[in-house]
Amino acid sequence: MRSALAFISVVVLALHAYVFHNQFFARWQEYQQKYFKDAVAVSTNDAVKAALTARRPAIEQTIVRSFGAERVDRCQTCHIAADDPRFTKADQPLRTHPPVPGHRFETFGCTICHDGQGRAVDTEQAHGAEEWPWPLLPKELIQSNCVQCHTQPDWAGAPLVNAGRRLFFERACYTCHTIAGLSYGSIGPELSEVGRRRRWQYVKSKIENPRATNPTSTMPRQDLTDAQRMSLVAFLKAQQGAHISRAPLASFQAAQAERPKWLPLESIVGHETGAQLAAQSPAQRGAALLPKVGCLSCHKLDERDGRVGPELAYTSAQRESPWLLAHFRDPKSVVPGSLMPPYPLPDDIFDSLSAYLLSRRVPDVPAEPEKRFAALCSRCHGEKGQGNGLIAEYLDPKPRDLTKAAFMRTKTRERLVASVMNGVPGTSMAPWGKVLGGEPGAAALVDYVLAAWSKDSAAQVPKGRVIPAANLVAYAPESIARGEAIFLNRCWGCHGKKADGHGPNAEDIVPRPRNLRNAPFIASVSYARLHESIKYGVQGTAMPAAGFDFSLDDKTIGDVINYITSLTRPAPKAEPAKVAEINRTSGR
Amino acid sequence: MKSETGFLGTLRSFPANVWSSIFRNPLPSSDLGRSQTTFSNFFLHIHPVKTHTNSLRARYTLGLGVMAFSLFLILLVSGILLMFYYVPSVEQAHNRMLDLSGTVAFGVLLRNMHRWAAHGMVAIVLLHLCRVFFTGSYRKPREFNWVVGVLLLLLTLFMSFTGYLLPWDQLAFWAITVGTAIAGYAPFVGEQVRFLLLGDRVVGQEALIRFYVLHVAVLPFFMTVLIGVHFWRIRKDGGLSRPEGSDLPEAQEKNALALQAKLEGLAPKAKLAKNKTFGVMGVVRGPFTKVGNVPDNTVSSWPYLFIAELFVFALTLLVILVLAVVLNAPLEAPADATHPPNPSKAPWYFLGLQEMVSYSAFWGGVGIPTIFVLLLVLLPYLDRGTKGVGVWFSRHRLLATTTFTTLLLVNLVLVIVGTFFRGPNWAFVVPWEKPAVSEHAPAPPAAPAAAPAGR
Repeated sequence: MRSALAFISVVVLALHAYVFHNQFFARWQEYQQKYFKDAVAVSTNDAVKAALTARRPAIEQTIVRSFGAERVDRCQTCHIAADDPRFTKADQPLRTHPPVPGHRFETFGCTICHDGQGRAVDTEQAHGAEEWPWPLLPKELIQSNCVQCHTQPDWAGAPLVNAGRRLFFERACYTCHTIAGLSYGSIGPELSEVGRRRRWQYVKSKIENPRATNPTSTMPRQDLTDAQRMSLVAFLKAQQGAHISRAPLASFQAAQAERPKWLPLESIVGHETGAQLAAQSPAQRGAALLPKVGCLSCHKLDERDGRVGPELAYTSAQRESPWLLAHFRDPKSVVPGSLMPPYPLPDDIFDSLSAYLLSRRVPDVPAEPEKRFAALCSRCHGEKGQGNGLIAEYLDPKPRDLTKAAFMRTKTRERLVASVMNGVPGTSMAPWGKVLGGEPGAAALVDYVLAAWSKDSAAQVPKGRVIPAANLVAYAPESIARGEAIFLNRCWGCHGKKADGHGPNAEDIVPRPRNLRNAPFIASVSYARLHESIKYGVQGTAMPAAGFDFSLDDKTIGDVINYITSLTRPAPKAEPAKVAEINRTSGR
Repeated sequence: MKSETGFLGTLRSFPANVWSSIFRNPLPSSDLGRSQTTFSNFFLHIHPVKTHTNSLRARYTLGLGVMAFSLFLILLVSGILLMFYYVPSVEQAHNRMLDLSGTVAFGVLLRNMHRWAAHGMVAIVLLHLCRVFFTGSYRKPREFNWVVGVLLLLLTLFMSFTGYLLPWDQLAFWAITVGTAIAGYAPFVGEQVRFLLLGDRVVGQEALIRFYVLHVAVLPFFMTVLIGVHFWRIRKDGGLSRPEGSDLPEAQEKNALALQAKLEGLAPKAKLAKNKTFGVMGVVRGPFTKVGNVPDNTVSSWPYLFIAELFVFALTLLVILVLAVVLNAPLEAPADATHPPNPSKAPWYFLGLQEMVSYSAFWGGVGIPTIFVLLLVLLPYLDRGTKGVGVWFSRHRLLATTTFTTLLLVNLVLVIVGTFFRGPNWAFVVPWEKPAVSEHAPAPPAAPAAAPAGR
């Protein structure tokens, strides 16, 4: 026992010696001693030599109080030669800092430009591993900190930040994200202080793949080169201001009051381009603006493809000017499930853009249905018609899976041809009639689709269905109330309590339940089709035959349809006599 | 000692006078001297002058109690030194950690020692509880000391938990967020208890100052008092538990002689001295005041007990020092309430709870732990048997041992699962396999060979 005790005591003492050694001969002390030695070697002045020889290692720190919260920068404890011009060729940490005129270390410190943890004197802690909020910035991103003080627009010292700002507009980021003083988008998170709250690696990974950390993100993935990504990161890292919404109420309200209805064009394309454009014809102006305001960040036109939205080349054969203008002002007013943000631009720019789109000649399309399908349909419906085309994940409702014969073969050919000819209002399915050369072309395409993709011939268009041509029940408040009760009993599990197609079961159902608040779609569907879908179900989807499964008679179905109609149409006016009766029964 | 006179004599005897005024006894050479040394020294007199040989058996006690106390001392000293540098403010706390880990002399060592000793103390106190349970030492007359011990365990856990927040890094912030959320699951008073702890609805400045005061003042005070009571009760309950029959004269004498011979490296004596002179030291021995002239199974505490204690202390210090030199206490990024790590995990000793909470918030976080603590506290009053005390895993206590071991293993498995087998969203992961790429994150599109002009 005694010898063991003696042994342990000796080991404890030895450990203390080790700890003391580490304390008094730390790495930074070695660096400093090496510096003193090297500096003596290159010194010519004897007094300087003597002073250096007498110098002992000590923590070197700069306390910066002039810029925001107090910073304690001890970087020069290791980088002691930073301000000694004779060490330009030495290895780090003893290399001379390149001269930055007007920026003295004593005033600015180091972390104000480089980030990192100024207080630490251990490499790992000071430079900060990736999980630190302020790891050392790579050289090219230091610009993001420069522009915190150098706020002049397009300051020449920060080319990367400026390129990033241009991309922010060109790639339509501004339409979804707010940056105080620059943009007012409200679809994505505010980015006013993203540079202060996120590491640059995180920002970069979000741009590379928006769904990396958030599987439900609707942010389109941009097709960017690495250099472009870094410039966006530099621009976003520079956004270190305060959130608009976190400002004191008075200044928040002031900012909201000042908020322009639209962004001035100059702030997006720059002053010079803006002035040039003013003199041109609307179509010319639209041609110049289209790639600059962000359209091709998602849409496809000619050789450029944003891989998110539909192709624009056929617009002139598909849409009229009013539809385009309504769509520019608020895309959700014509396609409620659209991902496209409303553009904060003045009407005359929308006019120019639609003038340009409508003036374009429709590209020639191949004559064979097979090639037509590949050229026109596969972008959404997929090469093999499975509804999984390039941009399918961004569309709502999703493109129809054409291989589902149980759906395709139970619908009349006329209905399918009509959908191709006239499009499906309220969805991304555009009217292709003109492009395909009228009904024969559309019919040929439908026949090709049925033959090539919907092969199961066992499914047949059902016959002998009894469907009233018009609603048996008048469109009245009582009917709507009865319909709502049925809906909240039978339908909400899939269609949702708000009837927006997002019921608790909806996630597992393909195709997704219809959004019954999609006004353009509901308006385009005949009463008979709604009635048939409810009474007999929709074959090839999860929609059950309510007329049999739930024993709903035609009048009850009429009530339900009145309720569905009431979601997107103004409420019916109750007749005066009935109002009186209701009032009486409720005791008023 | 010959008294000297005159100024020179006073000067000459000055060191001896100072020495003898502090240490009343010379280094002892007889049993009487040994007893007097123990009895008249403030720091030693909490010990009995004579120690039962069974209490010195390393394989019986494993030194766990002294180990826990040694860790407490290490924590006390390193903690007080750390207090000189720490500021309990959300703006400064993390900066102070950075200072400690680089600039402050011995800062890293102090922080590491404090961190590893804290984790070690939780573990050792738990093991100490297991030792007392498996040897049946909580039985009469030691029931209340067991209760004090359970309270000390809870205090230790709470001490460690409150200290966990102080570095104000991500690990601290989210561990305390999870830990206090578990407290919030208690019925009726849960939310209030949580609010009382945090002084707010979320972990923030109020929580930091509360945890700080609890950690450096309130809890150490109660802990010190309870440790005092715990030690005092050992004396009053007749020393450490020992097997029935180890006090029988025949056995005693043989054992004592053999041990003494072994410890002193001497040939065994034929017989213990029979005619002993007892001072007050002899009277205050064991649970009762008694003077006996019978041979017993004890040896002088000086030096046998003290050397053993010193050995355990030195060993503990050594282990903590080695850990502190080899392993750095983790320090993550500063706390950020808007950036939760996934998963957020409580401190390891609460991960069993968190694992259970993932099945049922109330039962896992409150119900089962409360039942478990109540059972622990009430154990000595429920188990009134007398057989099998002082023996590890006694045959007479098969049921108790088995039940306790099972519960212990279940908790251990839950802690291990919670620590190593839980990944993002508390989903089961296998630690040695790399996490699969999320199916929701499609591979990025192939980069274009050359970006078209104008982009």
